[in-house]
Amino acid sequence: MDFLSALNISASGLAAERERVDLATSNLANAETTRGPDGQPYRRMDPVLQATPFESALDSGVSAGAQPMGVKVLGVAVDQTEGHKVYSPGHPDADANGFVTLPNVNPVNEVVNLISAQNAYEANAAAIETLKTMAQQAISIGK
Amino acid sequence: MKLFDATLGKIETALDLRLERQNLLTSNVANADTPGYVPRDFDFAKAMAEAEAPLAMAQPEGQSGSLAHAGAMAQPQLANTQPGFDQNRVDADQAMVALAENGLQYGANAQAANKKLAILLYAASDGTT
Repeated sequence: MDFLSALNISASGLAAERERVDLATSNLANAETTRGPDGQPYRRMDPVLQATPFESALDSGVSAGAQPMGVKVLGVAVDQTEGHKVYSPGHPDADANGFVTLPNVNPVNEVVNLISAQNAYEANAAAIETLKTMAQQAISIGK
Repeated sequence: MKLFDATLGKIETALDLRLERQNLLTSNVANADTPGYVPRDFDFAKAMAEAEAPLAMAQPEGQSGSLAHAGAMAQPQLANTQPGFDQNRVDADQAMVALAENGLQYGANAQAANKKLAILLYAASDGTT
């Protein structure tokens, strides 16, 4: 375990938070999209995050439970809750009774998600900064 | 008295352990949003004492005793943390403070190494530098 692998842990955190921001912005942009690629109303998406041991237990010589963990985006979960229906008979996607099913996106949730992801991103960036300072100090030993 | 006494070795061990701890604290920050993740940490003082103790047991080839010990000592921090609704127990404030604190301590150790080397240099140069 050296400086660079620790940087990679932070990088995995940055990537995970960026994925959260990507999906939250996609959800926000499609808050009113009534027709997706499958013809159905857009459904909001969330990343599934998983902690992954950063190096194999063989490499580090310690048990898998005790070593530093990076974070991995395991996949994207599609929120299956139903969107609310609005009566709008003139809408091209209205059903037989004149109701349009809107996406299950709540903009308030998405913005909260965005802010939380931004804070976590900054925390990871700060961790990188600390590590860089440490590496610099190690390099300058004996100068 | 030896010229290269135990000081530099101790500082080296401390730097190693601080880096190891930094890696754990960094992974806590990276997993701040991972459901079910429990932050891990180890007691630096305890790890230092363990690394300093004369190691009777044989160490694997090419592996310093201190690091293997520190890794094995990493404990999930269940106390003092409240699980969030996703069972994640990372406290962002605590994690960042620990990160900054550990980084500062690392810097202090690096400076201590510098001072020690400066003393040696002073002695080696007849006190002219």
